[in-house]
Amino acid sequence: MSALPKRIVKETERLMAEPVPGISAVPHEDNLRYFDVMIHGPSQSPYESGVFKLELFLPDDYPMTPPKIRFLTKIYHPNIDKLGRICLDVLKSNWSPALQIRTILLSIQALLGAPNPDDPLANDVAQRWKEDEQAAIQTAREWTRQYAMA
Amino acid sequence: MADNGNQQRELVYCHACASDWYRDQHGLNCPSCASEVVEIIEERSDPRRDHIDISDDEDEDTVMGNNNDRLHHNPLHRHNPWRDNAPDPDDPGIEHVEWNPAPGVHLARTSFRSTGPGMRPRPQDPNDIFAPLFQSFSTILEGAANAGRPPLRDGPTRAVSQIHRPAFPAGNIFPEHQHHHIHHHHGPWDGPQGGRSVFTATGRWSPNGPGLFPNDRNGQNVQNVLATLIQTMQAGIAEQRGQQTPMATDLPAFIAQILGNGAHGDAVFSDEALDRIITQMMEQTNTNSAPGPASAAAIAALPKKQVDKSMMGQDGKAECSVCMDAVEIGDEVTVLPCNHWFHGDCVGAWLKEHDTCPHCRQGIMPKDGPQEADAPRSPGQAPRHSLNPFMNPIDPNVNPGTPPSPGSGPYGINNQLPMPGAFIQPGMQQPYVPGGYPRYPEPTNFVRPPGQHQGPYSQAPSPQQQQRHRRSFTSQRSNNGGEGSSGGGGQKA
Repeated sequence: MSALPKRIVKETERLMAEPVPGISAVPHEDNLRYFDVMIHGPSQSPYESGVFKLELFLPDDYPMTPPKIRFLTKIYHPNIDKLGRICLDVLKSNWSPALQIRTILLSIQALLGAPNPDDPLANDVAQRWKEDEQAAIQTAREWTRQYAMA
Repeated sequence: MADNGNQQRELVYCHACASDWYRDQHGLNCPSCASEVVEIIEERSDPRRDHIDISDDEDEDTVMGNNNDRLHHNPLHRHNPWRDNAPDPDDPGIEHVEWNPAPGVHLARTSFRSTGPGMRPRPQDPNDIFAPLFQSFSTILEGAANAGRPPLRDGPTRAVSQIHRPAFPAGNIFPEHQHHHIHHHHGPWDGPQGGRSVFTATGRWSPNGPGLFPNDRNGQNVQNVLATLIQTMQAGIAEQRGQQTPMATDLPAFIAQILGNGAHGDAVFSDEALDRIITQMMEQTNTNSAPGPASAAAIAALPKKQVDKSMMGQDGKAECSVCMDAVEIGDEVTVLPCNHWFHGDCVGAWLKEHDTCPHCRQGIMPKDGPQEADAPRSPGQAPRHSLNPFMNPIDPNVNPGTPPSPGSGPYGINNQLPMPGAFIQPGMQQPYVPGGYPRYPEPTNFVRPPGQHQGPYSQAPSPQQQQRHRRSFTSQRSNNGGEGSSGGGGQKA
């Protein structure tokens, strides 16, 4: 494997030196492109008080392609499917090399605070979110309590 | 069926050295040669006769049809204590299967049917890692055999003969029959159920033992498959045994287990592997919806300039936001029509994939008309954007960024996350104006928190949302206050 690009080294250093409150990303020692991520659920969201684990991988051609990110903690969210895959434009077609791990994780945290059932990844969740938002939010709370609280 | 042998002691026959013994005396391993390729003799199926039948290499239907005649040629038939009660020596109740999937690997499986309460079905040994192996291989081999490739070799040099059972009619005359069949289409799962059966599967790895001859050339394909599987398994064998871990018993899980990732070539054996493929396809689809590349000519035609003091941040620093390397005064950078600048190589690598400014998503390709959309700017053509940001006229046809997608919701998140550089930065009072010229855009390397969107694409969040996000991100903003001026790079303050 080729040497780690300077950009990844810099990003990692900055993540360590200036951590984002409510977000942590720690690279694996044996694979510096693979990060263990924790995101705290935004306050006043159904995910409040939950700590969500994610995995993040920087592909070979990063930053020309976006990082691959997936929720490992089960979460009830219209834009996150049962496998933890995330529907977020900046992770896909709207990726830009000026974006970073830090910005992407903030975007994901923001997504938790602003579910968008009109652009769903998990269709059943989105459907319920639209039909009975209160019930859906309640389920999201329960899942948070059940899966995202130690 | 005949149950009159219930009280008989079980007689075990060794296929390797053709000796026999009582099971309660010596167990299931041959006391003579220590082979595990053994079979419990039953009245309905005496492997000693089978042995001879096979060696005659006759068509099996003939063997079956002329069974009584053939018994004359069996030197052991007179010793069969159940001869009178054994009208059908080719009883399917016993299956013995073996093959050498790879050099040095010998596998054998014997399954026999229990016909009475005197013989308890032996539960599958949890240490017997070959049981699922056999089941799986049998299925594979069955398919291979049906495809006209005999999976099992059959040669005179084999130390142990292979019992090749004929097919049985659909109306099985042995209702309790539940054999494990590898050659014939009606397998163990489509026959009448209800009988008890016992499977014994054994395996042996020996470097130079008997029966390790090259396999049938016709079975080469199967051999390769099996050899691959075996090799994959071998590493885990000791551990499996040590931990007494039963292996997965269903075929997909088993294949997935030994293949590691659940996929082999074009075949997928597990839900996880399928999901992985779906993920891959999703990513490709999403990538495809991103803007296409800029032409090489257009990229090459981008103006370059030397970084001067005015392009540095307030703290006198700047960096290329693609590679995050610091940019010093005097370095040459490439300037995009939107006036964002980067290292030429860095932005070139991006533009040749996607014609968007990494900061504001404005493209560099002319978009004046559909007929020109793909035409690069000719080298002699005047640049559409002057180097001087203050003199640069705004081309009304130039899309300043990605418009909100029709499917986006009211949250301004999913498809409309603002780009760095599209916000008011610390120390900068002028917002980025959509459609207008970004006179003093200063990209940053953090995304503005939702609720504070003043970017071009987001709708105003509800007061509740604003409050929520402000609370969440207040501390983060203050932490990043200094970073905004130096971290984003690419533009002056």
